[in-house]
Amino acid sequence: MAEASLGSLLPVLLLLTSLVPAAVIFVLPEPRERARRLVNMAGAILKVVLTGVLIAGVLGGGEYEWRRELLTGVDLVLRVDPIPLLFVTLSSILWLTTTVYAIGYLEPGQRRSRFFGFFSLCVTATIGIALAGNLVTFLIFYELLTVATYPLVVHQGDHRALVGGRAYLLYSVTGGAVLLVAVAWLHVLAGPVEFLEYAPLAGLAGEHATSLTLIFVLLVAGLAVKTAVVPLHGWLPKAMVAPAPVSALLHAVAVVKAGAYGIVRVVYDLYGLALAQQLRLLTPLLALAAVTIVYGSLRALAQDDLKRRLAYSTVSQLSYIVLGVGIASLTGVTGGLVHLIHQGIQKVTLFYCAGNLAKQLGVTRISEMRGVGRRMPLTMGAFTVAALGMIGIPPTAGFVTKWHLGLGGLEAGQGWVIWVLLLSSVLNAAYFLPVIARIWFLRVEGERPGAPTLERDLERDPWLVLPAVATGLSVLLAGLLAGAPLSPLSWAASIAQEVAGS
Amino acid sequence: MSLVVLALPLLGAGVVALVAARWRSPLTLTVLVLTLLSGALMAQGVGSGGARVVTLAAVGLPAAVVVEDGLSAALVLVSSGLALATALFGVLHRDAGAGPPAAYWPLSLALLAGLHGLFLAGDLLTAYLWLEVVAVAGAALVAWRGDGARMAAATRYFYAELVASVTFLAGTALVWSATGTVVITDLAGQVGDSTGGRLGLALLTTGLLLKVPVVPLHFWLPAAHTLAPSAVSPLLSGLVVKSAFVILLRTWVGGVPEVGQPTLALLLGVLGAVAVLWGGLTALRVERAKVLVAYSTVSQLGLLLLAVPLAVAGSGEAWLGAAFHAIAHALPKAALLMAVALLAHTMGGGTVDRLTGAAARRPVAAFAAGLAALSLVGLPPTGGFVAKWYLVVASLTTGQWWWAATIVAGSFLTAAYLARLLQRFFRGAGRTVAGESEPAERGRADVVALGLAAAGLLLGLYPNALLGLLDVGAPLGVMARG
Repeated sequence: MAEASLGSLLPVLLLLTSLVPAAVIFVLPEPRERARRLVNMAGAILKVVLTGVLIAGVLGGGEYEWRRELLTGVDLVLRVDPIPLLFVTLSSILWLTTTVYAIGYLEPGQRRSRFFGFFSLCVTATIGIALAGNLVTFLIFYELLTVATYPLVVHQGDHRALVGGRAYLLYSVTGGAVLLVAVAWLHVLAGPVEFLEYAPLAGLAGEHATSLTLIFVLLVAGLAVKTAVVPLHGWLPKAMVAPAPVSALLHAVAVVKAGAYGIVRVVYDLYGLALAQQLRLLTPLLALAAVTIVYGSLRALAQDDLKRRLAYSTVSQLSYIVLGVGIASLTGVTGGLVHLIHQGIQKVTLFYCAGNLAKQLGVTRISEMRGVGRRMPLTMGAFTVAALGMIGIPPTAGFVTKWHLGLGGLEAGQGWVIWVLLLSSVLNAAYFLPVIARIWFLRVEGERPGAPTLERDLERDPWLVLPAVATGLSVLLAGLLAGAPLSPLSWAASIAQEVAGS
Repeated sequence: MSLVVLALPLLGAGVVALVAARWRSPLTLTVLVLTLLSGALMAQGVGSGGARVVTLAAVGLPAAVVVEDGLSAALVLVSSGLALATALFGVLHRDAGAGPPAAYWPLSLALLAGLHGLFLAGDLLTAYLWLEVVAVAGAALVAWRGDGARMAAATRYFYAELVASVTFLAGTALVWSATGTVVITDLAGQVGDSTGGRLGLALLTTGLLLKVPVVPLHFWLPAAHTLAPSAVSPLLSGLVVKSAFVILLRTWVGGVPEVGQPTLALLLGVLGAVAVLWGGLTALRVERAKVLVAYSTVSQLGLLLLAVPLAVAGSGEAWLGAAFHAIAHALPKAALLMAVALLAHTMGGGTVDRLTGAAARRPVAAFAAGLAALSLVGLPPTGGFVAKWYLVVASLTTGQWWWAATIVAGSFLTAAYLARLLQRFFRGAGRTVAGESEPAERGRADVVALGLAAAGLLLGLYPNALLGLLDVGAPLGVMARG
């Protein structure tokens, strides 16, 4: 009995480890920096520990579910399944590193109380999205995420921030409204449907095929806004005006991930691959992803602003996940799922490094990055590893993704996917390799050969350097140790076995 | 208990009017606390004992009917709570240095008595009586110690109420002579038979539409609600507008669903849809924050009317959705009005532009405004979401998807005009540099606004108690069936 109550309590506790810090931080007065730091770190570490407990529990066959009736026939459900756990692990670990980073990044006087309050609220929403056991619960946290992120995007409070924030709000609220219509429609059509319960929808496929197809289109459209799928990506490059820790959060931990994760759940856990194939929903999705991958890369090429280039790179990289969803083969599913993790650790590293550059050297443009590698070797080392991962060079994490996606495409008889991947990798190389070359091989203008360039002060703050180095290292490890048990890959592969194994 | 929630504020108004000025506010607060407690007892009684109809006989007049059902109990409870919060706000916050005038206290109690009378009224004649009380008390609250502009707004408000009351009374008389009864639930199957009955119904409906008000009869609302003192506007925008709607809902859904349906019901729905869109579009353009909030009220009131065609089509969810919306809108709307008043006080002006950077100057009030906005837009998990969920589900189950589209479009407009206001709060607020010379301001009145906004959120997190209550005695019970 005690076992059962603990099982239903753990998912809630996982939410509370960031919700309670959010509430405490809002109440703490601005100057109480040390207390705030303590609450932040305690919450983040506790969340990682709880995630570890959950992983151990799920491996041991434990079931964790919490439910409460919200309205008649509408339950609020938090449940730990393999796919949610994958996302929770990513979010809680990256929340920890990003919290460390944000503590280092924000200076006194930057309204840290408000910042960290909404920051924690954001992560609460993300965990809620991850654990949502049905669409209504998902929708609730999805909207909460929009709301909690907005104050972070406009944190600088200047004109550009507000313009970016307005774009973010416009896209997100529209997406949320479309999603609401889809959720309500499905509720009226099929009653309460939970994830991992395909039978109710499969039973309707004969009679209501058109409705189910339309609902799928609405669901994916609503989710694609946050995933920044072309042509719904416009807000992402504009929102890069936010402070670097927020960009890391938007691009890797929370927002765009929530959209991609939603698409994963809708296809795998709501419709199921079989029904999605039967209704011919996957091929359009695949095409959309392919267009986005290429378009995002092309646009990234043209950007001189580092964060803007990274933003377009996200547009492109996120759709690798969608591509994996569209490839209905074992290896393809593996590739898409594992990229959920890989894209996260790679992109978060890149944004940490971009933030460090801007903060320590005032460098925000690629044209200004000559020789920065010798001035900030640790940061730029991490940047390089992550960028190589984005291109897909072995033995980084990105290589593992692309390998599986390509193979999966062949398995599913969609050989053209390989060409998309190749083209995208060439483009990725075209927009990252020159940056890497500039970082390491070009000299700062006016600098004499052999002059001492290493300025220790630039990398003295561990709060700023450690997160970048740690996530950069993880990009390497995820690639090198891909075959080890509990690596993102083996985890994704075992989930894929359940989703597409039959 | 229903007579107690009527008598307490009514007698209280009389007593408060007679005592010395300095005793008025504490006495009013005491009466309001007692009323709130009686309201809670009544809600509990209705929840456990079911709906009840009390008939009070009077010589020479049709019997007065008091309906104790879930709708009236819930509305009485919420209006008592909101009146108490508003009175507290009046004590804690002073517009331009001066607190509410001495007449505020008895008038607000009289207004509350009138509202309770309307929520409980089961016949048209009793309803008329209380409509007049609400009109007089409401207009007097707007006008008291006002300058020229406020006087003009109050006068227009009062004339509109007067015309509406007379129209309503004429309609009631026609219905009475055609059917021989004014008890709303007895009208079923009788009104549609005669021209007089139908004309009467049209007249009394028009009167109510002017009182709610519904576009295009909303001309009096923005000025009256905007110029009213900050301890009056929450009562007007949160509660008074709902009182006429309750009679409308009872008449059209509980009383005469068969008359001229579905054409007339459709007409009411169309009026509601126009109000939703027109109010929203206007709120996008206006300059003053309080006017923006007033047009938001116009827009949100339109949503209530959408329930009529849906309920006439037999959807129980429509009744629940409308009743829930009437309540879920009241709390955050009052919170938003209070927050705007506080922010305008701090920033030295009430235009949308003037509130730029307010989040840094008065963070608690700004947070309350944001929280209230979530509920008004209808984002989950707020009370507004629950209401809209039921209305959208009702539209989709009855196949009238265009109402669902209207609701979504309305939510979108709401998000747009509220974002227009709220995003300004953040401008220039990223650093404390400006804030250091002007430290952040907060007061206990901010907490009242925050509490009301949080109540809107709690309604969404724990909606079942209220939903269960609203279903008691509902003409199209949902929970009872399922």
